[in-house]
Formats: sequence, C-alpha cells, structure tokens
Amino acid sequence: MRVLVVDDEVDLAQAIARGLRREGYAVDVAHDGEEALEKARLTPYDLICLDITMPKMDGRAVCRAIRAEPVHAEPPRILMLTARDEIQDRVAGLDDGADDYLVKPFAFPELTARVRTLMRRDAASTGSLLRVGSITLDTAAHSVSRSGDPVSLTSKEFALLRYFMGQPGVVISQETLLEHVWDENADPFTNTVRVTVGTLRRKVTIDGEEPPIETVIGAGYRLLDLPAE
Amino acid sequence: MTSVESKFLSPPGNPRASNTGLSRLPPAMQSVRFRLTLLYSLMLFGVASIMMGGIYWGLSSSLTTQIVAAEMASDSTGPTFDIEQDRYDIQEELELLVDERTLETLRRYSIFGLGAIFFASFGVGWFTAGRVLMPIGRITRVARDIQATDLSRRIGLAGPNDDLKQLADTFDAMLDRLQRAFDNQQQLIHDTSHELRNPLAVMRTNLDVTLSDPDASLEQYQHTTEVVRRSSERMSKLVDDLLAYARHEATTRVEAPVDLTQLVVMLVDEFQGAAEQEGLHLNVDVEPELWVLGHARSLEQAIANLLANAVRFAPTGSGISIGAGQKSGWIWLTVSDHGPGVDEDERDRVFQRYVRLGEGEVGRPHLAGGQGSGLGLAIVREILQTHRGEVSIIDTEVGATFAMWMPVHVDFEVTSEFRIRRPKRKVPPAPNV
Repeated sequence: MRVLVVDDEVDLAQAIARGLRREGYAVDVAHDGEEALEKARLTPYDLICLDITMPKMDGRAVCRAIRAEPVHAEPPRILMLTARDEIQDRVAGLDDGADDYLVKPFAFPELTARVRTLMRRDAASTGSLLRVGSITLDTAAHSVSRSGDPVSLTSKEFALLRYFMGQPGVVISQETLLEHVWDENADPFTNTVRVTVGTLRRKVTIDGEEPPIETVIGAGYRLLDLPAE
Repeated sequence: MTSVESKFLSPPGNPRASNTGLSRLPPAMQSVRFRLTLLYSLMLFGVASIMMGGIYWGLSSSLTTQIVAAEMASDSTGPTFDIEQDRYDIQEELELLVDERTLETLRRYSIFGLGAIFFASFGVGWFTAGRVLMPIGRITRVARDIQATDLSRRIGLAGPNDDLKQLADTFDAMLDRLQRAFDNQQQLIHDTSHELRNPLAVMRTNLDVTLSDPDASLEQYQHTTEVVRRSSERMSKLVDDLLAYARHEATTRVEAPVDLTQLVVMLVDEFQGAAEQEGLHLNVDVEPELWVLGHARSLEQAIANLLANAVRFAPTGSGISIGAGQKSGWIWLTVSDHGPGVDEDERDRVFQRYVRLGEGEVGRPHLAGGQGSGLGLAIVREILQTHRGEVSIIDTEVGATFAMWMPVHVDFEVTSEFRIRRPKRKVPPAPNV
C-alpha cells in the first residue's frame, strides 16, 4: 500500500511517515501542494494524507485537481488532515473529493485506524481481518497466521502479503508491486521485489504443501485462492 | 435595622428611585409618560385657573362699581321727582340682581370649563407624551433584544434628525463598534486555536509514534525531544505575541506626545546584543526630535516587531538599516534588511494575522531557531492604524524595507496662533531611504 503524506510542517509529515512505515506502508512525503500534485500524477498512490493549510497550493485545491484529472486507473483515497474543525470546513473538504477528514491534533492510532478503513473500503470486507485460503491477516493487530499457526513477518513482507490478499487470484506484476509496496526510495533495477516475494513465500508455506504464492513467468506473481483445509 | 440591612432588604429595581416617594406609586404612574402628562395638565390647569380667576375678578369688580342705573340717575340734570328716583332705585336693585346672576353663571361655567380643561389636557398630554416617547420605547426594546440575542440588530430610527434620532444613531454607532470588536475577537480566538493546534499536532504525533515503537532508537528519542522543544518554543512565542496583541487592544485611549527618536535609540540598544549574536550590524540614521501623538508602549512594540523581523530574516554578516525622519507633515521610519524580501503580490498579505512567508523551508539554517508566531506584523499594522498611520513594504533592490508613517504631532501650546492642518493626502510621501 503506497501512501503520500503531504504537510508543510516538516516535523509532522516525517513523524506520520515514520509511523505509517512501521505499519507496513510505503510512504512518500511532500511539503507543499505543488510537490504533492506532481507526485500524485507520477505514482498511483493508494492513499494521500493531505494537509489543508499549505503554501503555494492548499490541500483543497490539490484534492480538486486530483479528482478532476484521474491519471491512474485506481484513484487514490484522500484523507484530509487539518487544524480547521468547523463543520463547514469539513463539509467543504469532503465536497472537494476527500474520503475522510481528521482534525489535528489527532491520536496516531486513530490515524492508522482510519487509513486501514479507507484501504479496505473497496475490498468490500468488514473489520480488520483478511482471509484468503488458510491465510489470515489482521491489519489492526499486524499479525498473520497460516492454518491457525502464527507467522512472523517483517513489515515489508507484511505489506506485500496484505497487497496480495487484496487481490487474490490476480496476477500482479513486479512493477505494480514496486509502485504500491515500495516507496520512492526503492531502486527499480534491483531484485528487491523478487527477493522479498521469495522470503514471504517461504514463510507462509507449510512444509510439504504447495506454496500459496506462485510465479507466473513473464507476468508476475499470484496469490492462490486455495480452499481452506 | 441598620442602614446596611435596609439597603439589602430594599426591593430590587432602580436603586436610585428605590428610596424616593415615586417608588411607592404603581408602576404605570412611575413612567415618564405619566409624569410628563401630569406636569403638563397641572401647568395648563394652573394657567387656565389664573386666567379665568382674573376674568372673573375683573368682571365682578367692574360690575359692582359701574352701575348703569346710578349713572343714569346722576346724568339727568334738573330737578328729580320722587317717582323717577324710585324708578332708578328699582332699576339699580334689578341691575345688581342681574349682575349677581351673571357672575354666578360665569362662576359655574368657569369651574366646569376648568374641570374639562384638566381632563382634556390630561388626554392630550398623555397622547402627545406617548407620541414623543415612542422612539424611546423602540430603543429600549431593541436594546433588550440585543442583550438577549445577537449584536447584529440595529435601531435604525427613521424620521427627522431630532434629539431622539441622534440618540438612536449614537446607540447604533456604538453597537457597530462593539460588533466589530466582538467579531475581531472571535476571529482572533478562532485563528489562534487553529494556530495552536499545529504545534500541538506536531508534538502529539511525534510522541505517539516514538512511544509506541518498542524498537525506537536513542536517536529517535533525541529527535522527538528536539521536535517537542521546537514546537513548545513556537507555542510560547505565539502566546507572548498574543498577549502583546491583547495588551495593545486594551490600551487606554489617552494619547501623549512621544519622541520617536528616543524610542528608536532605546530599542536599537536593546537589539544590539541579539544582532551581534547573529553577526548582524545595525546602521542607524535618525533625525532628532520626531514627535508623534500616541502610546509609547504600543509604538515601542511596533518598532521592536519590525526589528525582530529584520534580525530573523537577515543573512549572517549583513546589515540592518534603521532610518527615521520628517516629511510634509508625516514622520516616517524604515527598517531595511538584506533578507529574502517579500514578493510584490504578497506585500499586503504579510500584515494579516497568521500569515507567514518563506518559513519552514528546508535549507535555510538561519531560520532553524523557529518560526514566527504570524502575529508580529499584524500587531504592527494594528498599532499604526490606531495612530492614524500606515505601514507597508516599499520597493528596494535587495531585501525587504518596512516603512511606517504617522502624522507629526505639533504642540498646540507653542503654536496656538497657527492653524494646525492635518495633511490632506491619504497616501503619505515616500520617505528618503
């Protein structure tokens, strides 16, 4: 899941980014509206955390611009973060195309909960549990289990599995994974995707059984929607 | 019962009227309308009584002294006969009787008339007083409504420009002022809470993220502490400036002559230390004896804010120039730095509350000491406006130059034989920079 954090308060943007990275998201940071819009045009973000009061171009204008010209097939979710808490401000923000609204100062767990909610809205599932075959992933508790046995994953592996579990049975290319699971600091020419998918596959495979993630040569990877035993 | 007790035990109401005889009357009789009417009809009654009494007295005295029959008797010359004499006597008696009857009738009609006048004048007086006092009732009603609901209502009394209309208009003007002050304060509170939330959010999020991370490194803790310190500094600066702002708003309206030259010299002394620390040098070129009318403390605050701004934005090693002088009825003062300057289209905006320019940008280590509160220049403008002056940013090749103007104060006692004319032009002349 690729997230863009936009805030002109450098200290705040960095703290949010740090916290979200720990939750397994790939996070980029922008400090003004123009930079944010430029990045949103280049990268198909899953979520944008957008501050409203910013120099150059304010958050509402960025939000309108993103909604007005859908560059990517999947438009990003937009979570507005702002110190303005009047009802008309919230209404204006939501009318500009934001999906949710959070008033500063907020408790960080609330931010991550809202991020999780926004991320699963299209998955049509409820709650924080994702289930594909015998794999269960709890986005809130940050835990994964295979047939009831806990599996310990790094945050990158967790993010990768969560992305796979959002689209079971669909072939996902290396480039897509790089766009949605890694942030802008990842080098597109390394084999980091291949390596991480490999370790993830090893960790979720039960000895003697078929691995749930298969490689489709020339196309990418696929999480098999195997029936639970 | 002591006097203190009786004071407390007296019924609530108008404290001034509570001890007079009027308070014992029923409420309807305590009204100005009733009192006016009573006064009017009593006075009319008095005047009418005097007039009628006068008429009655004049008539009765003339009737008793001038008896027509007697005159006729004395007028007839020659010998008079007894029979004639008797006729005159009878006539005289008859005349006196008729006169007596006439006076009796006059008396009766007068008393009826006076009674009628009393009641009629009471009615007319009641009606007239009601008409005249109607606007007062309106003013009272609106004032009561305003107390209960909102400040946006006005009396808006129509009609000729009389005393009551002037009262209502004065009241409306006072409400305008009140509402402006009230709105301004509301806006300030709103803006300020918004401004305080930003550093609070920075602190809270940093603390949340670091504290919830079991593997946080020492560097992360150090970074968080540093961020919290920076944010709290920012908040305390904001609170300081807010207090300065509030203090200025609360300043009494009494103004006194202030020598700007002295203020500048004093402030430059104060800022010398801070400037040297930043490697800045202050160049001062101020004319002597620059008198303006105003509040020394507010003016000091305004100049100090401009200096602080210059010190914050000037690059290390550069100079800050402070100039002041007098030109065609205006006192001017300028503070110039060699900082990044202000874009032409931003020049009006910087004087608004909580507008900051070019701060928080990465790679300007000089500003690492923290952001401004966003109130400094707003305070300057507010102060200048109460001093009938202006502050703006003027074009210079490099950096920013803030210029303020105020009307010269001329001592009335010294130059009382000259007419003091306020400069007519709205835009003050450019100072000699």
